[in-house]
Amino acid sequence: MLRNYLKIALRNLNKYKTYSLINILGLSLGITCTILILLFVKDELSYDEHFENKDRIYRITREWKNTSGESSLHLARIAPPIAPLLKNDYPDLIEQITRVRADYNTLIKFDDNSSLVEDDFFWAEENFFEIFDHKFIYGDPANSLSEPNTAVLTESTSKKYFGDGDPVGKTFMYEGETPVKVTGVIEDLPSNTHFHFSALGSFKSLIPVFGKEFFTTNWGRNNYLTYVLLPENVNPEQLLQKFPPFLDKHLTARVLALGRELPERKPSEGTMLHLQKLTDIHLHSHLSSEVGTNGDIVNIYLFTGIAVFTLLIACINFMNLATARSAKRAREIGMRKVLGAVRKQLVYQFLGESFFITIVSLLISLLAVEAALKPFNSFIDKDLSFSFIGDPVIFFGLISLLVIVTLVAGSYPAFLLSGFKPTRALKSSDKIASGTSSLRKFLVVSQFTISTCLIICVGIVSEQIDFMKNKDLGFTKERIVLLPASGSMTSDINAFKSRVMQNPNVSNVSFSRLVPSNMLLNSWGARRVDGDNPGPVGFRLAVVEIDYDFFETYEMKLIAGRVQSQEFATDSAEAFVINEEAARRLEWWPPEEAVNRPLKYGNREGRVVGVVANNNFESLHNKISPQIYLIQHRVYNTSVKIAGTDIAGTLDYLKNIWQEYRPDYPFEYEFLDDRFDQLYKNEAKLGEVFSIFAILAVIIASLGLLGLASYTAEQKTKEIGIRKTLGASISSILFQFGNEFSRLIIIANIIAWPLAYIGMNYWLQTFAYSGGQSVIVFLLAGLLVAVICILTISYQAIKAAVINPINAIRYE
Amino acid sequence: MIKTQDLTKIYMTEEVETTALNNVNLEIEKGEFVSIMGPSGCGKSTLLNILGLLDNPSGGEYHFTGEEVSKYSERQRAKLRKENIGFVFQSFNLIDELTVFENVELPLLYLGYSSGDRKKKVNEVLENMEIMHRVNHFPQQLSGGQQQRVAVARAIVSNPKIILADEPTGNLDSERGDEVMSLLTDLNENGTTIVMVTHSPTYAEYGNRIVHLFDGHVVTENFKEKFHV
Repeated sequence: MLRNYLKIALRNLNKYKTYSLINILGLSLGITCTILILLFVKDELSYDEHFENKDRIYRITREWKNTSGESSLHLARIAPPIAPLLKNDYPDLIEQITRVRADYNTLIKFDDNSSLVEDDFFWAEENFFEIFDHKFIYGDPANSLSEPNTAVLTESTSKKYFGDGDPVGKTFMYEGETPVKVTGVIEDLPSNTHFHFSALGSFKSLIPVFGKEFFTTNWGRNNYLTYVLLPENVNPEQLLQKFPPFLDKHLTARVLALGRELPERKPSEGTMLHLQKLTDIHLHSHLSSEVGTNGDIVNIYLFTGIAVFTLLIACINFMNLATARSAKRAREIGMRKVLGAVRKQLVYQFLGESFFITIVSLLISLLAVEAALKPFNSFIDKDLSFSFIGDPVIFFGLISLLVIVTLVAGSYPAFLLSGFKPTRALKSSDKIASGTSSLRKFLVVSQFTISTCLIICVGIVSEQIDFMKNKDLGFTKERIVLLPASGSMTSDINAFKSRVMQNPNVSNVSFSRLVPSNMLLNSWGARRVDGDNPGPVGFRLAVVEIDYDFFETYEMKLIAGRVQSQEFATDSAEAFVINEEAARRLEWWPPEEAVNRPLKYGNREGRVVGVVANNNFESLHNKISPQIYLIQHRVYNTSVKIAGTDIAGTLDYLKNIWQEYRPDYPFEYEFLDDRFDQLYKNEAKLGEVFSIFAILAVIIASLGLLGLASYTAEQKTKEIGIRKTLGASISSILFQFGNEFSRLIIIANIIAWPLAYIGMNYWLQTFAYSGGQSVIVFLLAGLLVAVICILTISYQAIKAAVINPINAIRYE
Repeated sequence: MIKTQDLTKIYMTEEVETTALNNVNLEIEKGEFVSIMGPSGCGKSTLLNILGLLDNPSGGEYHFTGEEVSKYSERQRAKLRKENIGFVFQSFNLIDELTVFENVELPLLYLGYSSGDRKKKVNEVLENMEIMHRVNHFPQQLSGGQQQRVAVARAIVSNPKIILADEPTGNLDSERGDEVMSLLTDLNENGTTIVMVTHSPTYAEYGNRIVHLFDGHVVTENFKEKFHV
């Protein structure tokens, strides 16, 4: 019997080659997309799952609140005293707690005087490896970070520094000054971890640099990643409950120790600690000062949705073509029933056929995935691997995929056709076909709807990316070169600046702690000094430390007063420029009101001298925050504005001067607008991936439409013949064809537009600033689907319309 | 073998109720060859479908080999059908995607015969039908007469007790029609009960009884002789 089924299946496939090709091609494409997306999703869900203690490791984060209670900042890193104090206060709730400090752009020098800049150099406490089980290739995890000026390297860092072999005992110079001894080498970190480091120095090395007191008393430097390992029997709730009393106790003590007045609200009302499960960080954490770029669960949903939709479109093709062909197979079904087949046997037969087609498609997909994986990997910037047998998740995933597709694609013909009475199946094949036509219309509408939705999404995403790239940010980001300045240049900055300015192509140079595109994480305490209610301002006022040339370099617009100037000697310590938002929040409005207002900021007492227009200093994901600009003489970032056209020449010039002032530090530069593009890298990638899958979905849907159109044409041959005999013109027949499908397209658009609108509205809400959704995208998407549809069906329609009427009639 | 009592079939559509069979009482004994005649739409095919357990009556009783089957479920009818009844249709109803051999083999597959037995039986019946030389051909490659011979072969391969033929000669020219009729007569002479619907008075005469249906009623029954000798 099985052989009989197989024979019938194969002969049907062979006989209706177009149908079979459409089915198999469509399903293969759909399954390939699904597998690729599943690999991506699986990888995203696997972050930090490899750590043995993953279920007990949490990261402590810190949030600040305005007096109104709204969150003003939530950092992924906390202040250094918190970890030891917590361990001391709640030894039963904490098994291990470790602090990690990042040290970006670290200059590493070697014995032979060669040097390099290490991006991901971190400092970690000695119990780090008791929480995170990294595999050691050389050295002993227990003592590797217990001495000052020691470091553990990853395997590839070790190779980069010392070549092959055991480097334990060798040294390198940190920042060209401090010798650091290698105590261990660990295996390279897998890509699926939220925290990537290339070298870990011992935390004790920091103590002489910052002083012992810093680590026990400084609650303001919140740049220490802090991970806690909970004991087996402790649940995170227990520790969370301790945070408010903990903060109240220690922050109050701190204020008293400093001899300051206690604030009105309890410390725990202004700042709070939170716990994040290690394995949730990658997809669920979007805090300020994350240690790397995290993924986003919303994208996981989006991609899973695309996978499901693409597959669904392919399944719909299958169902559609199978039901369209049901008339042709009705006789077989009827006859099988006459000969005693029961319904179950027919269901098995048709599900079997669908299984057969699915498994063939799956095999093709496996080859396609194999071929597409490399480009896909380089496209999404990952290193996904695919092993059908080796990976139980994938294996069972694919088996369930096989079953699901078989059922979805085969269910309709299997269950519907097998239910016919034999007499009906044998005689009225036309009626069967027309009975299924409303279902087919429904399915086609679903496909159009999905395709239209996807195209709209592509349009909106790319509109938003354009919006972000082209929005007037309130400053100039073009032709600005950023150089990694350094504290050691501070003494020479004026000389350096005047040397740079000698080049006629350079119009401005500015030193500042932060440059646009950075996050405004720093803030000091701000207090009103005059008026009815002197005291804390009650919201976070982000600080940007700048020099006198900053506003001119960035062409920020002044709306009241003036900017700081070297003409006024006191400006260096006492002049503040605030932004529009800060003026509004301080209720110094209109902005002229703000000018000359006294303000205490941190330990500076001074006056507001001017107000600048709001600007999107941070990425457009963030709302414009209240900002204060003040003069600072240390050098962190150097912004050079190039006026002329000779950019390459100017860069050469900058390089020469740079090497004069910082001979040991490599000349690395970045253009500000590239940096902004980087901020929207994820969205740009999302847009590209979206487009690819949307195109595939539309191709699959068109394939199905092609099959359906040829079926319709075939079915209508007689009708067309009669019409033509009665005098219908070719164009009127084409019109009739178009009419039928255009109704479906219109219905699909009516459904797709609101769906896409709602979905994209949700997505756009992740941006503080969006370009909105323009009607044109919706119209174009509808038009595009219509054009594709017309192109697809016109061939069949024309073929049917030009046929000699007598051939058409004789056909039946 | 077959006995119906007040057999009624009413088709309901949204607006019209059509009585296809109205209190049909019919008895067919083992070994008979019954021809059913009547104008188009008189209910001949409906009757045959009900007799063949392809359809359920709306009312009345139907005794098949002594069992009352009018209320049987589809599953029960399918079982009875495959074990006892062979069908021959006007339009042959061969499956286009299967070869001659595979078409004839199909009933045996549903009866669960082993592959060796199937081969033996199919070859035997195809030999008898003198169509062995076409065994690997597909239906479209055969003439109408050949197709109907394959259909008859398929109907008898499982040795059914009764063969129901719905205008088996309707699509054939007279020469091929004669051939098919002689096949059926041979089968009847070997003991198979045959019920045949036909428009042709000549072919109806092959039967030993002619039942005339009109508007769902049996109007006359002409007994020619009790049995063929």
